Amino acid sequence: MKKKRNASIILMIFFIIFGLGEVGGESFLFPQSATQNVNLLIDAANVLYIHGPAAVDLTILKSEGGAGSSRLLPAYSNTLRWGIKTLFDNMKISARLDSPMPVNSRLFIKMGAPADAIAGRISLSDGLERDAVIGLARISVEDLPVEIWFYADLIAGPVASMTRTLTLTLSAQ
Amino acid sequence: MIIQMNLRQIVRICALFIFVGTPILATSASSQVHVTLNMRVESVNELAVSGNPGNLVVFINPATGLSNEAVDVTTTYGITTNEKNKKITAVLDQPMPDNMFLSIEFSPPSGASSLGRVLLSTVVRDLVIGLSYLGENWRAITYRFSSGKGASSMNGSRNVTFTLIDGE
Repeated sequence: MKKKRNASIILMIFFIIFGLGEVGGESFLFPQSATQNVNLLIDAANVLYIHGPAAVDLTILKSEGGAGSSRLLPAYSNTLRWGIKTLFDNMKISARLDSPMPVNSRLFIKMGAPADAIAGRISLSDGLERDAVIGLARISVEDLPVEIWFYADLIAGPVASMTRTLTLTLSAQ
Repeated sequence: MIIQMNLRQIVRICALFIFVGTPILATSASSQVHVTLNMRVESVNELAVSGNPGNLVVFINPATGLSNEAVDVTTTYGITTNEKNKKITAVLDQPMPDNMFLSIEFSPPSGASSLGRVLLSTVVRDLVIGLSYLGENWRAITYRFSSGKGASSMNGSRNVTFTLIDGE
């Protein structure tokens, strides 16, 4: 009986030393481990962004060159700036309007091209997607211009208000 | 033990990246931005003349009391409108003396109609009607100045005001 009690005491001591001594998975009596903190970040591989007003106002006010001209002076905006960060090669930015422009009016945009990329003035009047910038490769730039022109013919007449959504998409070529 | 747990976490994160991260990459490979464009075209109605005509000089024949007719075709006008059915009117700033006549004729742009030779006075007169959605320059202006019997001598000037307004 006494031997049995002694064995219980020894067993308790054993648990105290080797069991309770390990708090939170680490033995404070016999440290045999090390801790590493690994920070992991998943960053966006492609980011296309625009700076500027939430909406761009384009208003045609007068003729091009004064009375007698058969053309209206196009409305022009360069208030938007664009930037990009991509980790990939052979990327492009395409542009489109949510719906075609009315007959006798046209919309053009031109995005400033980063080094080694190609951009030009493109018409978006038909509502189809067009390449605005091509040849983008592993680049991070910002503050590039976005120019927009709105043309209307005389026959279009006065237009009280018209809204279109311009969508720019960064994708692989 | 702790290293094993951290490795387990790393493995879990890697597994998550493999199974969930692949579609995330596919989505992030296409970034989009949207911009609202508000467009408007104002009414554009512009009228201009090339300058002032030369002096219009007539000589009265003392025997008959009649005069020659002075004509000037040195000036032109230009018009731009993006509206329908506009007209051009003319009016003098002050009346002509008795028996003296100043008339004007505007050559009409395409699609419009000229009212021909119009006698100018302080009452507004139509010169051209039916102007719609056009822009034309160098349209001829013809002035004619003459006098009738009983006219006295005159040495003065008149201002002619042209206006582009809505037609009837």
